[in-house]
Amino acid sequence: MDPGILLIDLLNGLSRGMLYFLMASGLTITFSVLRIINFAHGSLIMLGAYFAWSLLQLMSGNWAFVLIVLLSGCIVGVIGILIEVFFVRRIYSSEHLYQLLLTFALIMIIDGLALEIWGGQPRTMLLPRFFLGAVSIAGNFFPKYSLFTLFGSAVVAVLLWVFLYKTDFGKASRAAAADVEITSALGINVPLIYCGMFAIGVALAGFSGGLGLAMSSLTPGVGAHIAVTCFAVIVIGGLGSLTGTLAAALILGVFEAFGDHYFPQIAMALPFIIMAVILLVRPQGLLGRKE
Amino acid sequence: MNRENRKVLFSVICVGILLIICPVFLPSFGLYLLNEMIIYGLFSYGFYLLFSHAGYLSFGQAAYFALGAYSVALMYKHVTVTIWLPFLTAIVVTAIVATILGFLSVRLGALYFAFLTLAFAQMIYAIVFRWRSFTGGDDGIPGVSRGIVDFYVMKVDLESPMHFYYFTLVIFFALTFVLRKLVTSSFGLTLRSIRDNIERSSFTGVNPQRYLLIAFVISSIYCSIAGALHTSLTKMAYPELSYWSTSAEPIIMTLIGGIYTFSGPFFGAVIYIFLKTYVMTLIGNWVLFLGVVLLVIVLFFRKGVMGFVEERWGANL
Repeated sequence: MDPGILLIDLLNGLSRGMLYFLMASGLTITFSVLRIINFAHGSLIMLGAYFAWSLLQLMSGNWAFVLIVLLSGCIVGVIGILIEVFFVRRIYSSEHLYQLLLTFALIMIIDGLALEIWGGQPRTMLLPRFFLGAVSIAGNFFPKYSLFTLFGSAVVAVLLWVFLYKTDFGKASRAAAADVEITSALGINVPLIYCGMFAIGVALAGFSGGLGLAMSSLTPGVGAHIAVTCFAVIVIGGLGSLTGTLAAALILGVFEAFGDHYFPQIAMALPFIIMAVILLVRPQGLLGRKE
Repeated sequence: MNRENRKVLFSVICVGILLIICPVFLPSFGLYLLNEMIIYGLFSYGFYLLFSHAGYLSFGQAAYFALGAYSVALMYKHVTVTIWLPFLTAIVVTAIVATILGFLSVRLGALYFAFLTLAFAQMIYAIVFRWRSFTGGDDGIPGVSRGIVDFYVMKVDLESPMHFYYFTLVIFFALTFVLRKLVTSSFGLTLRSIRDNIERSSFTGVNPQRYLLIAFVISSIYCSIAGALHTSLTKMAYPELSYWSTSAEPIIMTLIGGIYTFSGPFFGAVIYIFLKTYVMTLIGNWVLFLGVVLLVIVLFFRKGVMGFVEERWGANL
């Protein structure tokens, strides 16, 4: 095997993996603080991509695209705040089942609205010329956009880490994840943290959608497919562990990249196979804690 | 027999008689609708056993609905149109798949269960969609037969809507009777103890995972039989049968009907199919409508229609 091609496959896998991390990290953050699995996460990723598509009709230029991706993340984040305030907030004290059902209802509402606004036909983003084409790495070609995704995701991952570990809000939210009662006894505004972390989780979804779906065609059903990949990532990594999510996303991305190249017949089933193996061997996930 | 039981028995007999004599008066489209309601009622009962009694919410029962549908459609097409072997295949295939996927899904509690069932169902959808040579891909399998019931002394051709209706009704009565027995038995009690407190029930020597797995397999078989009947009624099998939006249907039907009432899933199905037939054309965007309905039920109307009726009528329906 040609080492140059292996390198390209590896880079491809890392790029895909970082994107998976970005997609699933919002789910992990929301779960670790609010103890809620947001089923609509995949649909919100799709929504981010749709916003990016619409904004791309209005703006052009290489730097505008970076702005568009950030902006679509912010818009989806604002939608997240509205969802938290109007719906999710009402059911924190309810049984788990109702929380699941509520976010499941949101999938249908978001998909329905997307169909209403953007229609059922597939939408493809027309990327600025700067992001098209390929760069040469050790004599082999690597798509420029994948490189951009890799760097973009890595920057966001670092920013996320800084936010969670270095800012007061991040520290307070980690405290709330560890023990809500003590945190609120210390005078920290827990409802604000809940709202903020839900919004950040959702904004990450929107951002990853804008960044990640640029190369694929968009239809209102794509959210469910992405949600399943996100679930696979958090199961493999361990529910609630951000490091686990990163590890699982990279593993899945690299496996898929090599699978696509060498075993295309089973590449589609890879997330499920890895997930099933993890559930059998280490049910709590790679870095999850046993309950 | 006390007053309450008499009320229940009276209602059951009334509904039963209505279901038996209605077809005589209904036009053919009405008969088709009623048939669909019964099939979806059965599908909802599959979901209901897991959700209402074990407290485990499955977002993936469509996978088993589709397994039943495709097993029967393929058997009718390639092997035999006598119903026994196709239905047996549907049940066996479902039991095997549900045991494997259920074993992986029930181990880590209700939260994991919810998204693992969704993920595995989407996996089955992808397989059905991609495996073109076997399942027909996105074209599905058109022109499925309705089968023939062969009693050795006589044969009944189910192609006639009336025959097929009564065939469905017999299965429906039998399976709801079995389910009623099941949920009122010690098995049902054990499931509810797991729902209310999984730790305490395991302290009493119960193995919750085993009970949940059994409940999951039974639930899946109900869904599978409903799927088999559905594919016979509509005469086709298609990949959307296993899509997550199909899994949403029994959830919404059960919630509309009332999750903690035994008659809820059936009446939820009646209301749902009625709405789907007459309101869908008015609204256009059905998914959005369903989402709003589900949201409203979760936030404001958790007892459901039959829960509401129960309060007025003063009997556990």
